[in-house]
Amino acid sequence: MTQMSSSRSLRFIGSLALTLLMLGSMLGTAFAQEDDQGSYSDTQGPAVPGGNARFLLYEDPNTMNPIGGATSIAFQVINSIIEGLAENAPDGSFVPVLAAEIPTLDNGGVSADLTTVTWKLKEGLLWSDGTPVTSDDVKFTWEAAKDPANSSAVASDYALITDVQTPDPLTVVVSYASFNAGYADQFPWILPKHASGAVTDMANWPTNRAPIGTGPFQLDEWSSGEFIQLSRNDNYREEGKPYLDKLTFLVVPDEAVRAAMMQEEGAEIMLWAGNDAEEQIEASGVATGRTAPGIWVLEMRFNLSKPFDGDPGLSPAHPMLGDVNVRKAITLAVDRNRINHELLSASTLYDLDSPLAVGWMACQVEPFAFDREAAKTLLEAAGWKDEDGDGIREAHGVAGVEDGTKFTLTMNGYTGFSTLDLVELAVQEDLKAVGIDAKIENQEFAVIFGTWEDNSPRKTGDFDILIYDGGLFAEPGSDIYNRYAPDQVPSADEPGGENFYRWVREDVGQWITAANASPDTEVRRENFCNVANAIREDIITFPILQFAEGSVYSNKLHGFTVSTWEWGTWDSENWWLEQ
Amino acid sequence: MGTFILRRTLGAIPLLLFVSIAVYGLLQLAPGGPTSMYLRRGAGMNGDDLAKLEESLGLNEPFYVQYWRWLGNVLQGDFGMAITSSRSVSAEILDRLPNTIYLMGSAWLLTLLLAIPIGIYSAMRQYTKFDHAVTAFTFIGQSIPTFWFGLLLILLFYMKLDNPFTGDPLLPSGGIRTIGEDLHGWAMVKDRILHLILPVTMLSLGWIAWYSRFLRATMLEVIHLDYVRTARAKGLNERVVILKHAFRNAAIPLVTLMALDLPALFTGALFAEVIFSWPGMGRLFFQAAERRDYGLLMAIIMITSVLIILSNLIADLIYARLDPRIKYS
Repeated sequence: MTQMSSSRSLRFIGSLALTLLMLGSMLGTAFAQEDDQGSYSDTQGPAVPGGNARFLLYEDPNTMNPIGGATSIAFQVINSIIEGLAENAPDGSFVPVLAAEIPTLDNGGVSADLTTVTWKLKEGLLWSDGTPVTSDDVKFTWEAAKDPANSSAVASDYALITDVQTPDPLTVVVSYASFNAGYADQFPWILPKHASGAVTDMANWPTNRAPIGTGPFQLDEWSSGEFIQLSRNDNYREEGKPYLDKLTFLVVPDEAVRAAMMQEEGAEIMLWAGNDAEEQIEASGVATGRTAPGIWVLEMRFNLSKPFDGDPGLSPAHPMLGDVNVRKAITLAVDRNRINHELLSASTLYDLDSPLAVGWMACQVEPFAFDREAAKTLLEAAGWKDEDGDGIREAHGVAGVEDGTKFTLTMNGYTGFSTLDLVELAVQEDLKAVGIDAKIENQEFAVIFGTWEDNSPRKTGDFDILIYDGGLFAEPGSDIYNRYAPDQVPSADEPGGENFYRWVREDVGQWITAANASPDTEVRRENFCNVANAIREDIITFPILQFAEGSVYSNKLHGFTVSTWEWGTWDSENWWLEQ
Repeated sequence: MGTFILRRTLGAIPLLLFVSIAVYGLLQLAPGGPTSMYLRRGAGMNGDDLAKLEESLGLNEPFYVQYWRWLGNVLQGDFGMAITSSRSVSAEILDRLPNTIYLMGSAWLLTLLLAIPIGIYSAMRQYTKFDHAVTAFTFIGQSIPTFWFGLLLILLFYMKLDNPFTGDPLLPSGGIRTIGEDLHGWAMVKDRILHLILPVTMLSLGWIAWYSRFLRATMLEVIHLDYVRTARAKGLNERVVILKHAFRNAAIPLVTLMALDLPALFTGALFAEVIFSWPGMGRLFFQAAERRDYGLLMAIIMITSVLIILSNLIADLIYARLDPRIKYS
């Protein structure tokens, strides 16, 4: 009887909840949700047209030209004005924007030999000035983007293209020297041929300051260092969108002032708010931080080769990090839980064990554990003991290392990133606890990320541990190749290589090649996950945390989805404001 | 006097050349360059492409070739392109300069209008309640960190205090105008003034404290000198004694101080511009330094150098005007 009652009660509560849910939906009550990967989406409706959303930026964009070296701040604005053939959905898959569909083998868009991709544009597309969008614009974009001498910052993305043909105004045929696994991501931006200028004169295009695009908004005024005013593009392809009349980007350099403006409802979006600012704003009850997992993963990358020996190559092995058990001991010694959940705010980061766990690959590997005693045991067994009692271990019978050599390492990061500073200090403390002396030596961005010609330490192999955040985009093929393939160890012959680990495994090279030669997502995932397992097995890198992507949004702003893959304004056509 | 000005002007040329070579060299020595922003932690521009880009921008040439080309262009009045924004350096500067002169000029004017009377009156009424109050104010004004004071002003006048008629914040948090509203006539003037109040207050506080304290000290030195006593003994009106005899002499060191601050009218004030979102020269310079935009940096530094030389010359000329004993030949 009792059981029956409670079951009836549960059913009653269940149907009541369902009824309320449906009623809420009909009345347009607020709904928001997170997808499987944690991306926040505000689906409240129905949308009310009109209004002006104010978006706070911390610095002035440098250009409105997406292929001309735009900064990440500039892309926040560009993304609501200029579009491409395709973009990423929050789950990482590609969806058509100006293209009628994503070319595939099945729909005939990709040739059987995989080297020709045919794109069809949607019909009736117009630039914001009313000029029709044609396949010539796609070809023009390629011609401008392919050569760095034009001031293109994205030339390497176009290196595989041999030709672009435009048989009719709506058809673009792209020929590749070999299959480009990232073909769907080939044209994230299409630029207007009629309004830009000669491809060789990109630095002087009028559209660098006054862009013409196909996106939901058009630029009305850009007052340098002050604001950028956008208004709705009446030629936008989606009927009734965008909902907002205006989108205003305000340049407010000081974070405390941006937070104050959000609290006083002087703005609707604050880009990338810090933890303190976010808490302060949320306490006022007018706005909330909304996030999705970001692409940036903070890792400790180990150099397997001896540094400062004048040889950027593999041998001899690193005196300490050349031993996989020592690398394992380091991972056992670092308490990631303390870093991610006590020192830093858990709301702005995610835990992960592989740099390839991000996005559609979602490669899950054996989790790293924290076990200080196990770390000590491993170090002892590897010949690193503290016999002189100074708290730092020294070599005793380690192959290739002079006895008495202290276990001292340097961690290189980049300057000006307080979260990284904090993580480094925590790692330093944890390593000290197992007898490893880790020094922190952060370098200027231009030094640590410099080129072979600049003698950047990561290129020449003159470092022990690189500690900073790196990311893989939705189409990760070329980056995975650059970072992990055996032939990508940087050298005078391969200056562009990014295998800074000096990690050479032929099977890894084969898996990467197989993944990048296939248009089949499952085949690619399987091969990339083999790479992920090899990375975990050999412990060439130790992922500490994955940053969140997100901003603080006014509770009156709706219709937005925070995406791992796209800039903050990627879906601004769907945004609407409570009046 | 004409010869003096000519000599000083000609003397400035080698100095400016030296400054330009030194600064250009230092910028080249610093790690990175205008193309550093193309480097990424993840997928960035590869070395080959970066080299091609640098070649097209002329950044791979030896220092002296780049410098010589820059100098040639500057002598023809062309500061070149701001590489990271693909705009002319002149356009970048002309966008910001009026805003800076407007802010800094207002703060400077307010400072002079308040600091001079306060300094003189405080010296005349030494050790009175007014003087003690001024002393306390100057200590606070000089020791308070300006950025903190700016944030305090925003907290008080933007967040805490509301306009009783409209319910809006009493004063705007920053910017030079209300964005998105097409204001004209008195409404526009009022809007501009409202936006000016907080940044000018932040900037003037330190200046007023410093100038008035300085003038008080120099006035105290002067008013006890014989010629002031003589002026008084002649039966001159106290106002004439102070303004015509004492202040004129006490003002000479103040002129030096003001002359040294004059280039700030061009260079702006970074803290005030950052806190009050003021689109001025200070932020432009800081951003150019962050992005290693050589052309823009060089232009701002060279114009500042010219202004420093010019303001020193002006100070020297004012000395001669204030003190007939000073003669330039």
